[in-house]
Amino acid sequence: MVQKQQEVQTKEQTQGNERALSNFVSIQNLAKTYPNGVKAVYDFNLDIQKNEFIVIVGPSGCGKTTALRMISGLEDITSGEIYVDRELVNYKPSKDRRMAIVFQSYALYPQMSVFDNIAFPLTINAYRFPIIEEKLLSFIQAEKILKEKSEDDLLEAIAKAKATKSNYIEKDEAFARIFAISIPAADLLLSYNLENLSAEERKDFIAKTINELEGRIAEEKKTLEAKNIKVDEACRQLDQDGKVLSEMRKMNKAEIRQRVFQAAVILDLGPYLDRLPKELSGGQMQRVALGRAIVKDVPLFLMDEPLSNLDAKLRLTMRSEIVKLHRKIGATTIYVTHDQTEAMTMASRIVVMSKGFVQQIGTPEKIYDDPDNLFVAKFIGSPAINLFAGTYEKGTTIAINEGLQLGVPANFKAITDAFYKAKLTQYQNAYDHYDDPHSQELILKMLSSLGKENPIQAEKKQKANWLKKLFAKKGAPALNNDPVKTTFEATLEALKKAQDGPREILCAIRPERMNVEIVKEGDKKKNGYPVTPTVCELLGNEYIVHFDFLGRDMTAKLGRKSHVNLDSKLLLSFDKNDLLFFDGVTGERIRL
Amino acid sequence: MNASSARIPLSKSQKAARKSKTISFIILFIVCLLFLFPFIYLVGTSMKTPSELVNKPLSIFPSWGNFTFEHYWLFLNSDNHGRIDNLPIWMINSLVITSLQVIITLIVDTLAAYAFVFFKFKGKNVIVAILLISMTIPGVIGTTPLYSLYVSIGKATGLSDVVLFTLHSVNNGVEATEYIYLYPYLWMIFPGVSGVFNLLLIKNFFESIPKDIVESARSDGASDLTIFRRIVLPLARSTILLVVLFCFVGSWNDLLWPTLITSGHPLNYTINVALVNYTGGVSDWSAKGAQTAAAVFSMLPILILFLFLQNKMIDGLASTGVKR
Repeated sequence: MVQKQQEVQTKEQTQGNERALSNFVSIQNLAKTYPNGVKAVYDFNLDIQKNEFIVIVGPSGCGKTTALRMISGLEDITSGEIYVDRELVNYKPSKDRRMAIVFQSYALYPQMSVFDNIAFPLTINAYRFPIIEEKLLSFIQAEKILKEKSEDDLLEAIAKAKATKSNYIEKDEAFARIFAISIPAADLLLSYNLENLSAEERKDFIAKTINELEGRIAEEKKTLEAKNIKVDEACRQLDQDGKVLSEMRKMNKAEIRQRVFQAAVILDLGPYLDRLPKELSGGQMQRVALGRAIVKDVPLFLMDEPLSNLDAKLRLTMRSEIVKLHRKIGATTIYVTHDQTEAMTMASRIVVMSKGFVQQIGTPEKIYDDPDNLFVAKFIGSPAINLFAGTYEKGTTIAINEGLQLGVPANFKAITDAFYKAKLTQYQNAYDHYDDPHSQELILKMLSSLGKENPIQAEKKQKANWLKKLFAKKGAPALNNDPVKTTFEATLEALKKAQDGPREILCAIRPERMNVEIVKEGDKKKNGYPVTPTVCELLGNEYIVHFDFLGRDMTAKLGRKSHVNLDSKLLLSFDKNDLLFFDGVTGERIRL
Repeated sequence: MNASSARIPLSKSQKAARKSKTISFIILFIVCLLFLFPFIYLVGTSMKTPSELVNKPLSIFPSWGNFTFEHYWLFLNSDNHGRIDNLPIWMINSLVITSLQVIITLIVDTLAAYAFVFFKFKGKNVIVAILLISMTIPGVIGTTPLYSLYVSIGKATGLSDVVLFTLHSVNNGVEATEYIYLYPYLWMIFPGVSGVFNLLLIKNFFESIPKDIVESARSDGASDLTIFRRIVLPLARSTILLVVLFCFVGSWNDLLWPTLITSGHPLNYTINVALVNYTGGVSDWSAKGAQTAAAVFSMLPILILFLFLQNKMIDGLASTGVKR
């Protein structure tokens, strides 16, 4: 037994290692239990390729933000592993994980200008730079400029640089930028004061200076040789094998400015760099927060509901901007939201979560068309999917109501037989090893996919009320000692019943897949179930029609031209292939 | 008069608003006068001529044309006016003690508050509770034990004999040497450092700083010291100024402890101790001029500080840069 367990463990380990090696981010069996005993995330598994845009979506309190905070290092990990770029980052502090976080609240530093906000990460961290022989480089570049550029070009650039009026750029920096040279080189060139010389003097001066610079370059090279320092043509120091030497150092002001300006251009923040966060609109604040992430130049972006604080219209624009940004920068992104529309429109893959469990991972199409369980089907899609219960015994129909039958494929019996057999074995197996926490998680996950409360939490609430109950007139109901076990037993019972007898099947269909026809007087009689609309909502190009079907509110989408109204008479019918079936006991999908 | 400048009749709500505004202004004005009256009387008395001091002791201001600054002038440049000629030294004593106390308090309290709010450690809440409870114990209770500590430590270490400065003076032809000691300074600065109240005030403010900001800075790579220096402290500016003011006033006005500590070392007096010694024995109205002038003089630093700080404290924290 022990040996077998070990085998399983090693097998899991090798699989985990493979996953870590073949994916950019690999999150394995991540779990979080808070000190107060509340378990927020169970067994979170996710592999992310480079450049993917992953959206974690779920209702509030489903553990999605906790998962993100664990990935970012802001929250301790209870168990499980996170690999980024083939490296275990569990024990690394947040700042060393090479990821940038964008918060829902933007988290801008209120006392700093937009520029300082974006520059903040650059001012505190050391970055790797090649070691450059500045002096030699400046001589070489100055000589090159004097040789290659015409006098007019030079004078124009000098005039431009001197006219620079900005809080952030010095003259030499502006000049350096025009010719793409280093700042010491620009200082050297500006120190010649070429603009004060007459045309003839200038020609002589330039010729003389070029000569002089050549001499100084040779001299400098000799000194370097004497010091046994090798450099390449860009004046970077080389080691003995010809590799570029590098050092960790903080950025200088010019380098910081360059990076901040780049980010500001990408985000259209140029005009606002001097402002304080309180002088910006919500969308601009969010862009600043994005800017702070961009300048860090990291391969992984984490976004925690970044659009929740914006108004509806701005949210739409920012949504597309974030997608565009992702395409431009290509950083792998993990994005947390409670808004299924955002998830559907932005994601390359969606992770649906509920009550701490991952319910399904897949592309938006897959999640929408092929949901794994009841929760995913209900959560994704607006208006929500239509649901109704039926009972299946045998044959090719599901009884929805007395007399009303829904046609199902001929092999439905065989499929459901197999489904229940498999489920029963799975649950029975888990029940036999009840002490294994995985078995208990199975039942908790089942409850989460049905959208029911975790019985342990419910029990806790009940216990918290014991004092109230003590003084209540009637005696307190007996507390359940092991609510999970009770639920487990009930589920097993229900599964057994379903295997033998009638099965409760939940049928679901997307509103746009409903066949709804408006019946006009004198039409030929068609097949269908007559319904009358209760609400007709016009959304511009389409109607959303609510109607009552067997006591359930259902919705369908109708074209603009249908002119449906409350007096219309509708005929409802389904296409067999559009129906999704779910098991009434476990909420899991019965795939045909 | 054209139409636009004609008076538009006020609506009912506007009238009510104006009325309540007027009433609250009147009440505030009266309260303000009550508070300010002693001070105004003090300033007025300090400018009376000696004859008026005796003749009209109850008038608030000196009568027209009888203003005089001679009392101020006296203690600033006289050496014939008894004990008051050391006033500049006492003033410097007070300033040094108070400002050191403020600075040390700020350093200790902000760092401690940062640790309380942004670090996780066991027993945090217990320590805060103990600090809170300690606030309920009146400070006077500690005076006797502290004083005996002061004496015994001074004796045991020999610190009490360390002289900071020596002053030679010639008074009426008699040469005198006076000493300023180091030891009383230390004891006037350190027991007063870091009031629990100030610590809790700062802690409360730090708690109101959104956690997102700090977490964001941390994930940007900032160390705790960087976060403290570049994010938290600038945000807490108004609270810190408030603490500066509280601490300054508290330390400046402290009387009992400095009186005990400096007894026997007249050059170590703070300005308040000196004032008490000066005003205590004199009941003659003609001496009141110098007394009141000295009192006004001793209040100047607090007044100046308040003038500088009040605007900055009010502007406070207009925006935290976080949408909630």
